[in-house]
Amino acid sequence: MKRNTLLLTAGGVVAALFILLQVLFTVREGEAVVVTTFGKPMRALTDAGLYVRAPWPVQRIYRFDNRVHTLEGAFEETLTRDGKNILVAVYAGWRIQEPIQFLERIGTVEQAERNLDALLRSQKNAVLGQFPFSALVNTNTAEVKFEQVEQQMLAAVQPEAANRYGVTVQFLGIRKIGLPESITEKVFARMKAEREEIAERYRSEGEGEAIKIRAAADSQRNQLLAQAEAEAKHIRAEGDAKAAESYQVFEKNPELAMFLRKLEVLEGTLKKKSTVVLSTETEPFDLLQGDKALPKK
Amino acid sequence: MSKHNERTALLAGLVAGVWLVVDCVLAQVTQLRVLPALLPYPTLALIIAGVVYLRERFTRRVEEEKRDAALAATERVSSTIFDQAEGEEPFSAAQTRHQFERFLVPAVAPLLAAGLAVWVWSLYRQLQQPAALPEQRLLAGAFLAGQAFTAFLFSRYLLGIKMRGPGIALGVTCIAALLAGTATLAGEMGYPPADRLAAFALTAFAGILAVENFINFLAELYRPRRRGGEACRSYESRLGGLLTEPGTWARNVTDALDYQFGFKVSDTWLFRFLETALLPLILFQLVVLYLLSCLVFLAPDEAGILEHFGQPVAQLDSGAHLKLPWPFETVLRFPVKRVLSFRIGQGQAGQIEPSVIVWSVPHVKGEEQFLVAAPRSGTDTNTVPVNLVAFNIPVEYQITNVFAFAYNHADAAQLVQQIAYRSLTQEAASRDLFDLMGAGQTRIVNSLRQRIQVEADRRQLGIQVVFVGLQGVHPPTQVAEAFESVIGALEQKEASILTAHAGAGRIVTLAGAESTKATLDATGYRVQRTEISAAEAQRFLILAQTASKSPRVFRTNLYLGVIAEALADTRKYIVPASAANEVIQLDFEEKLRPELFDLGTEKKEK
Repeated sequence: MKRNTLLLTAGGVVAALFILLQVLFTVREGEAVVVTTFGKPMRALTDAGLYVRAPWPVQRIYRFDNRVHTLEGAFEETLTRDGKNILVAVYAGWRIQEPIQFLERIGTVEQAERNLDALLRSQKNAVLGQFPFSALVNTNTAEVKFEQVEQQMLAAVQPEAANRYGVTVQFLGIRKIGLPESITEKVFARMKAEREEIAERYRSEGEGEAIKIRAAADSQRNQLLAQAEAEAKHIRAEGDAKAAESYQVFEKNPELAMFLRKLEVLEGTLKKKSTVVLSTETEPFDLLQGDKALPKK
Repeated sequence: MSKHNERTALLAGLVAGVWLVVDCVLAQVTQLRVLPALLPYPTLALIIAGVVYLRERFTRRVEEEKRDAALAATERVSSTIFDQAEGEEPFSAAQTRHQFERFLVPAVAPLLAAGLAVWVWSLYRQLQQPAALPEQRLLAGAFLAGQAFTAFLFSRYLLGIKMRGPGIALGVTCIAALLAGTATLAGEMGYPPADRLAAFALTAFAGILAVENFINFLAELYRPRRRGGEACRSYESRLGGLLTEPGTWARNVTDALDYQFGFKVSDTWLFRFLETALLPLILFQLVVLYLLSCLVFLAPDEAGILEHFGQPVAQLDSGAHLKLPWPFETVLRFPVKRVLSFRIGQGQAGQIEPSVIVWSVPHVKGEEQFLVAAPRSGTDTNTVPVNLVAFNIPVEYQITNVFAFAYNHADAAQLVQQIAYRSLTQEAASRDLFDLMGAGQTRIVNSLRQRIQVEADRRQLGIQVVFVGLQGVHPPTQVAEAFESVIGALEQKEASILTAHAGAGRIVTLAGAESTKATLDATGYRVQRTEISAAEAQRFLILAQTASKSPRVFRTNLYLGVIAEALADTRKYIVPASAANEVIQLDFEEKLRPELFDLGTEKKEK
């Protein structure tokens, strides 16, 4: 008996909770709730608090996150006004403006993001087609029109999103820009070529500088050697002149002087490993002729 | 035994089979997630009913066989001296049942465990995938209610006639269908997540049943067996028994223990006590658990927002707090004091960079490239004046306004990242590559931080950017080598110049030395010429004076002295003057006397 009472009490509590959950509901801060009566949307609630409703199936509630949702679009290829292919990814912040319209036309946040993404892509391509590539990437900051592009996209998206889906797009930003793979390869090739050009310039500058340095050194060397040679010749000439002065004494007995000179030459030329063929008439080998060479009494 | 049990088991299997088919069709039609998760339960009931049907059939046939044998024995007139020895026929029903009980029945539990495990894994993977929007929930709800009802009736009936296996399986199917139906109705009533939650719950319970079957199989291996003892019932779910007969949970437990241990565990005082006190204890525990939701403990880095019926009423700091229980008050937690961070340009988060980072080797997977402006260098105006650069930028921020962070944006952290990417894209698009990579880095970091903060404030994110770094900025890997080659070329240039300087220094130095040498040589020559000529003149004068005294003798003597000295070491051939008209052949190749350096050659020749 006691056991049954306990079970009945527990069951009663659970049943009471279930009934309470059917007639009471809360709206959290940042939530939007639409209450429908037999499927017909009756009221939209966005203020947080506790509310009462008729139990299912009379009334039913639909809850939506009413905070700002951030939608990240695809990194998609498009053309600029000057025909340049470019990849652009945008993001947008949106929230539910008209919960009842949102419920009727979209139903879920996921579906809303799919629809908004399609809208965003369409307007993004249309707006980017009005601007040249230089409005997005430029060293001259005065020509960069990022904010203007974003504002135009936002202005194009906002009314359509509000009318079609009951949402307000609060902001929109260009998350990233890029280039398609094939163009990226070309940009890489150009960047490489630029670097190669600079590298080659440095290398040739080095070689040129080296040639100049070597040429200057060669020139200096030649100058030094020429100066030295001139000076040497002058010194040698002085020596020769002094020698010529000394040799004037040979004029006193030129025959003897020539004889002595011949002897010097003879001595100088007959060196080792020479082979000399002499006649027996050559002194002192004339002695080999025997009696003919002996001194006569 | 009549065929009644057999037919009942067959009917239970048929019911389970029919609902299995219906559930499959409903799953296709409605796209409800809970329906595929429900399928293992009627399948389980179908298999167990099949096993029980076979068991009942074999049992009936064995009894019929025994009855026929007994009848034949009474009518038989022995025609032989000795009675035929009694023994089991090789193809008798008893033998078939023996084989069935011995091999097939024990294999059911592990097979069910394996099958359920695979099924659960498949269901879990399906639940990770995005699903289509469910349709015709009410239709599914009606069928599920019908399924729960019929399964309940059959379950009660089967349990009533002690056919516990299929009874429990159908009972579990009833509960699963009830849960699926409730979730489907909840979805219809405005709680769409109930479908997914119920699918997870059913999948998890199927996983638990898989584990239970495996444990049952192991327990069966170690169960003491006695002749005439209970047959194997390892396919019966004890957990299912607890769910299907909640009022008799203690009996279920004791039955299970008695079955497992082979004696009356249920006679002990502990079980008697638990049987009466456990339910109140569990209820008390549930109440305590519910009341515990009045306590909130916030970690050192956390702050909380106290919501009263969904309305934020206070901010709570770290520590313990009291509040009304759920659903009156709830607390949202945020890591307010923690520095939150992310990186831009580094692909997926959480990647570990190598210890040595060079431009030409990718540091992480999915390194992103950003467009930076390039001054137009070529002549063609149609070219795209951009460069590409890779960034590694850590961004750190703190939550300064927890209410703004929590309620203004569905995913504030994601928006911070989007803003950071936007700011970097804008910053890079108007900067020159070498400005980014060189002296302008500090300026760029400050500008980036300011841009992110301004935009975050505009969007009322409730954060403060505390740090933006520029840890890495470099050309993409594909062109990194070309950039490095410029540095290489600069080094090469310097090397060429230094080598030329070194060569020039050597040339000039040697030239100086050579010129000095030439000058000194000339000076020596001059001295030599001067001194030698003077000495020769002096010598000539002396010789001339000497020669004047005996000119012939002097000259001959001098001549012969020179000849003696000059010809001392030469090879000489003396040709007689009389042979002037003769032809003399001389062999100049013959060596008369070897020199010191020819010794080796001569020795060899010898």
